[in-house]
Amino acid sequence: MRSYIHAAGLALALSPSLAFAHAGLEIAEATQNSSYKAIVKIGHGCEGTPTHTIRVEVPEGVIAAKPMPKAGWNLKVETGAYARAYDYFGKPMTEGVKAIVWTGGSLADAEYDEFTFIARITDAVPPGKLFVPVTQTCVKGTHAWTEIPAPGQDAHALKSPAPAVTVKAAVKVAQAGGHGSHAGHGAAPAATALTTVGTLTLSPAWTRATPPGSRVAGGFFTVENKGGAADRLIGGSAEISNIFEVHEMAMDGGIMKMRSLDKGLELPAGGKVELKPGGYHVMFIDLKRPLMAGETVKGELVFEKAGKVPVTFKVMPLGSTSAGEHKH
Amino acid sequence: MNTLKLIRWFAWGLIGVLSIAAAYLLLAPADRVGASIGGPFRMMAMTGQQLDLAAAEKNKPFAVFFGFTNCPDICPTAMFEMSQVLQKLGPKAKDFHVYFVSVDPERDTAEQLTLYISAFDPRIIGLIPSSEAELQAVAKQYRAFYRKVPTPSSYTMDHTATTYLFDRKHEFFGTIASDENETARIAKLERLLGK
Repeated sequence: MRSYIHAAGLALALSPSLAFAHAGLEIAEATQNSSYKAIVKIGHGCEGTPTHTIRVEVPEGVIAAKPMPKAGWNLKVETGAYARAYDYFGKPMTEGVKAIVWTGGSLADAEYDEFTFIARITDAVPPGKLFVPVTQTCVKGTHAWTEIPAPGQDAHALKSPAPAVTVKAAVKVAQAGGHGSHAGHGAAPAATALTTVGTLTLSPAWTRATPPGSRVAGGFFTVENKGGAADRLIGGSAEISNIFEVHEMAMDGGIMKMRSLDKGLELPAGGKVELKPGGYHVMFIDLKRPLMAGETVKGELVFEKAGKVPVTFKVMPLGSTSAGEHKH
Repeated sequence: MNTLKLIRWFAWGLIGVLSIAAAYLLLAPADRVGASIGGPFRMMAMTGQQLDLAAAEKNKPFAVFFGFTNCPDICPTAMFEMSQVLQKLGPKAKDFHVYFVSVDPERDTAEQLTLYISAFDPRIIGLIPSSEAELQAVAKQYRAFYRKVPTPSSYTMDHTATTYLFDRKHEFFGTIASDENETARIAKLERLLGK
């Protein structure tokens, strides 16, 4: 979460004029399946006249919205049925607040104020930008901050963009089937766990013991992208190396060729990409110490859309070709 | 008549010459075909001593691999698999050596290579070219390829991932490719050692 706050700060620093010109959201990042405090920022009136009404639409997939009352303003909510039932702490939730209206106040053009509500962002909201349309009505005129950029379009190109929050995927770790086969084996739990983050499912990650003196190791896992949009593995980090890169390796006429994937590794929609010896891999460069078989190494993978995902690499013996049994 | 006879004799002669040539090409030992791969060289071993390959391996078969210690996959796997095979071959291969020639002498110091090779069978010996020219000459002799490739943080090496095998006469015997299975590796080395 620390980095999210940095990102929010950065976004503000990069576009101070826009942040004040348009209606915006104070907290720039949210996570699926968690509560989000939406603070709508209003920086000016319309045509120089004071604002008397703020209407906020609660997007689909955002549930259990609760507005914060405001002194000097009347509060009204519009409820209705959701497009589907959402899980709310184990209970299905089928309807709720769909819009919040603060009226009867007076916010001068030269003044600034905030309108707040809390809500839960479900995992039905895809990772990426979530737009929260806001309509501001003044003594004279209105501002409809309701424009949503088309896919690929830059929100900055819009005249009156809806305030946005970047939703990060929830990280879930589930036990894969058949873990009984490891009974009495003493295998680390990480070896059988599949990690699901948004539309991506990661197989257990592994690496290999390194000969002493070697300062590099490859990391391997499989990523399945069940989503409708491509994602990209763009980087990461590991506790045992100073440098982490995404590489491609291929044998070409008996010659081993390795290339750094400067634009990351594409994970096509509906596709499965395998990182394995002799192929794609993440590379731990400038190892702080040799890797020993049987230990685990903590790290983090960074995906363009799914964001940061914690990962544990199991260290397999030298010469291993998979995370499974050692090949002899 | 004389002219015809002459032509017939000439034709038969030609057939004879071609047959001998064909038989030679078909029946010649395979290693003659690759006779130009390999050859003697001198290079510093990881121990600091100068190795004279021709003298050290006199009347013995041996193997050569081109690699580097900052190689994440192929090199440690190839050396690990070679170690496994050498252990399985046991006493038959007690005098057999595998030379690991560093294609990255810039980073592979004797100390680092010694550490690295210590993880594998002691019959594997690390060699470090003293200069780019020395590396180039040996790589050319063995038809091995290597090239420095930049990465965002530093550089890596493209290199031939094949293990070269040489017989007692130091003639090219064959190769072990990186994807060959253990059974094939053992069979090749047994043939080489029995030769």
